[in-house]
Amino acid sequence: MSEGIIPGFASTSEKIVEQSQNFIPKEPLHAVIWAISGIRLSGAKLALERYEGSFDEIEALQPLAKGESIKASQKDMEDVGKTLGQLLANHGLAGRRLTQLKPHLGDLGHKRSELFEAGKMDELRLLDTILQTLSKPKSKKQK
Amino acid sequence: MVATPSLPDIKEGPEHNFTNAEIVDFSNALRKRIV
Repeated sequence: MSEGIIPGFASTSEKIVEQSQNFIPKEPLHAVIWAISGIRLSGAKLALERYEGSFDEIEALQPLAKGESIKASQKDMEDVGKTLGQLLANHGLAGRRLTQLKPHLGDLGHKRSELFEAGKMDELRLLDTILQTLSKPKSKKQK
Repeated sequence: MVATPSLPDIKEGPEHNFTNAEIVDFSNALRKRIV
């Protein structure tokens, strides 16, 4: 792989995650208070679940198979980075693991439906391939 | 510290071809960093 970086993608997703993580308390006591207060938690859960109108065809992730490839522009990468960053932030705020990912629900389900409806299958499959990797349970070696 | 995840540069045109292997490599690097 070349040394080139797509700043839009990496920086967009990481910036959103970093900003959100600043608000998540690290100390156990603070975490309990955070969970009890529940205000941001509710918002994050809503963002993960409120949309239920996804198409049947994309209910499950549509990742690329071995040997497949897609075409993506800089704008596509930034778009995917933004969606991914917001998703990761909401999972963090709601205290959920990515193994509990529900690709057809919430803001993610809405975004994937928009891409599907617009025929942007390459962008959808780019997003889904990344999500497939991120949501795999970690093996003992990775822990 | 884990290196910043990277994908091939796409300066040469409006669109770039990405293979499954490249995207999975990038995703694994991203996973180590933020998940």
